Amino acid sequence: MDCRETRETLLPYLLGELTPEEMMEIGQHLHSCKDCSLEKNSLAAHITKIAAAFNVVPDCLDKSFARRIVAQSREQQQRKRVVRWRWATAAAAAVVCLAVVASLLLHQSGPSPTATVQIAGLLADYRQYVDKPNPAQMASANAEVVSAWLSKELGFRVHAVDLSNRGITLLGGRRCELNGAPLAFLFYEKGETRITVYQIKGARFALEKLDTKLCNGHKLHVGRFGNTTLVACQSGDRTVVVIAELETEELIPIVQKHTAQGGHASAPKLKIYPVVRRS
Amino acid sequence: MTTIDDTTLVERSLTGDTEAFAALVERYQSALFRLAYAMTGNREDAEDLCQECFLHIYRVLPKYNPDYRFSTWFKRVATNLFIDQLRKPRRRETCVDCIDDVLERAIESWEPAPDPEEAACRRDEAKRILSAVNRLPTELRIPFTLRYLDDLSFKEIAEILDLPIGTVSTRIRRGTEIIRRAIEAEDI
Repeated sequence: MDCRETRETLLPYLLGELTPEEMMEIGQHLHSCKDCSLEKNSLAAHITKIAAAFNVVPDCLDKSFARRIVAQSREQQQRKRVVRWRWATAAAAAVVCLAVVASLLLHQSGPSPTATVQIAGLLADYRQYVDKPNPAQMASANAEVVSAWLSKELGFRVHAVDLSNRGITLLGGRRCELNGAPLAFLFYEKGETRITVYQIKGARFALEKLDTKLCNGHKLHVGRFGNTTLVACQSGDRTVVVIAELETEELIPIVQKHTAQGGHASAPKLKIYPVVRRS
Repeated sequence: MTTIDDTTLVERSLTGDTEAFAALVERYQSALFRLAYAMTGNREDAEDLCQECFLHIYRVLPKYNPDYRFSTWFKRVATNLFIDQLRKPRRRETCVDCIDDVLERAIESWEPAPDPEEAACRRDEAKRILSAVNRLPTELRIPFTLRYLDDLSFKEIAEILDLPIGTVSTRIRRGTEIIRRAIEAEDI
């Protein structure tokens, strides 16, 4: 090691940031080079002065600080609730108006045209979050913690599943809403591939543009959109949809796991709505 | 008496247990205040920063991933907030003469010097160094402060700031060189 290299590594050397081998190499150079040794002593003296200056940085927050913060965070939460309540009231009014308009349109023009939008919406949501490192609002690999949080937030039982035995890691969950129905997002990762699982309560959900497939007594709806695969199952009071850039066969067990966790594991009574086959 | 771990306090806070959140604040307030003070150089700004930081932590607590150490996540959120705040126009200027009386008192209560002249010399030097630190660009000041104030390793700082270790090492070296030159300039 020459003088230039030694001087560049003097700081990490003095701060103990080097490996034992690197420490030894620099030590040997310092032993044989008077200039570098003087430079080391000078830098060490300055480091001591800097550390001493930081030693006097005060810690003078009083004991009531934590109480003040808690009181302020409560206020913040209450304000948020009021705003949320106002928005909810406005949204409810809007939903009622839309429902009236929609029912009038339905009577005039037959089946609802919104089904395709729903699939497209889920795919758009998937694409929006797929590149984000972890879009979960409740980031946790613990399925119970995520399930509890989402169930509490959305008002229906959401089931995150531990898929670690399949090499799939749970990243967390996110709450949302789809046409007024509470919607849970669960984010998983298999290697670098994101898997998004949606659970929608009470979804009267026409899964248009999808093929149907019977698998272990479950009627599944399967669609392929470019590299992206979508597998859905309607069971009991919920619809489970899984989207990922994986093969259909890889997604089917994930859908079944989430459907089985919904309290219908033994004889799932599937509630399938009319399906339009992809031509 | 057993100490409740951070993750449990976070989980309880998320269920609305304000006592648990108060315990978290109490646990981290000293470290956070020292960091904020070292970066701003005065009590008012440091207190404001701490307050904003804890309120922000409360809002983003549901995003905490218990797979990671809470202290690392906490410092990451806090330093990101500090970076944002420090980029805004400073409310109070920091210079040798306006390092506030809080630091003055802290220096006085520090390890007693052998004689008054030595004590005055130490006091001036600490003020000068902290003022110079406050003049460092934010991207150098934060890793520099985390290293010398909290004695964190380059690896820990890299995790907190989400930067490569090499970048952290370079920034701390550049910061140290600037402060060293400032000390030497005053010595002459």
